[in-house]
Amino acid sequence: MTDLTRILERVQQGDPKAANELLPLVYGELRKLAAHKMASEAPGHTLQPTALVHEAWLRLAGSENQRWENRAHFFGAAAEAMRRILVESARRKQRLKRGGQMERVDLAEIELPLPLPDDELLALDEALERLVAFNPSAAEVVKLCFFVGLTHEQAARELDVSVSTVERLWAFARAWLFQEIQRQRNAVGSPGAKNT
Amino acid sequence: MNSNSDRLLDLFSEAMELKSPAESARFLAEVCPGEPELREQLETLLRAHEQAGPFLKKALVATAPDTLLEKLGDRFGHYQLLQKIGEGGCGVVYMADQAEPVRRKVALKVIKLGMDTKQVIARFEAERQALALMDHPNIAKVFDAGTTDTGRPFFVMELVRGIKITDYCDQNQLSTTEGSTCSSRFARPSSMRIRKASFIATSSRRTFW
Repeated sequence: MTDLTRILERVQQGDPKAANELLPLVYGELRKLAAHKMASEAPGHTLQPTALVHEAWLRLAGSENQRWENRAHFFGAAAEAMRRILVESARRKQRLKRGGQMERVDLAEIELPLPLPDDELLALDEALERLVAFNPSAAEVVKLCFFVGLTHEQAARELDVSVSTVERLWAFARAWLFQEIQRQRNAVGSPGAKNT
Repeated sequence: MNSNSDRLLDLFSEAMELKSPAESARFLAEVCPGEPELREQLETLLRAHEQAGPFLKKALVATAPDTLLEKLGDRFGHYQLLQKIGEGGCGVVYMADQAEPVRRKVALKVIKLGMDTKQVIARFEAERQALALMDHPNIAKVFDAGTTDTGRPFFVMELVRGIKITDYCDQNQLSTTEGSTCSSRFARPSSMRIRKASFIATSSRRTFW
């Protein structure tokens, strides 16, 4: 039984410590995998965050027959891990920009290329955090569909709900996040804010 | 708080199913009487749904290949890429224009995306230290370091002009030892570069060109 399977079993049994162990494990695996892929592919090769998650699942889960609940827990953790990796990259870019002139940067970090402009990704991340508090189910759908790239059907299976529920949650989350981001922009009135 | 969000979700979903604007208007007028705040939230959401456009329309998609690579004319801080002058296992070397604090041409080496930067730096430093033993004007100094927009580290080095010794040797079918004794076209400092080149060649890595 792999480490991951052991942890997932304990998560399934409701062990809160196990849930805390799952995220760092998945996070570490994703970053390692991302670095490996970027180093081995030709320069300029595009890196799909969503493909990374699926591949990490295949690697970590191994050949053991994983229960669907295990996969669901994994994808939940992977979505959160991927979100954090991307947000870290975005924050680093922002720090560099604000630095103005060239600064020496801690070059020890692996960076994923950002699929969104950094300020948009950060705004989304903040709004998403508020959605987690406001409606956790809607936030979970966004994480799975956006950061892991699951279809509505796949997300429905992972969350063990109907597809129409996922679609309702997705539409709601989308509208909510959009107006939340706009509200933040208007409130802060930052000079660099873009209009979507 | 959560029951509020569930109600909002239900109302929103219901409103989304209505086809005509007349139906929507009637729905909004009739729904949640005596709860103006809730109705306002609902209206905001419906408006957002209209305006969202491409927002969150699809999952994270990888960026196009050419937006990841640097191009001639790109700026990294005070440096502007002018010309590609070499390529190696871990990155590409450009000639660049430095604007501040001094105007000059430099060599700028961009490390390939995703390389283990700790490892790259360790290797870089090790070779620099070895070469520091041969402190000489013709051995390129490192001026600066940073990261590009897409997160790749780069190093700014002194631009050392001249043909690659290995190319010269190839072109003239000399072995590197012969090259070091060839003095008709090379002043003494260059013979040190030849020895350095063979040192680098034997450690099977090309960092400086």
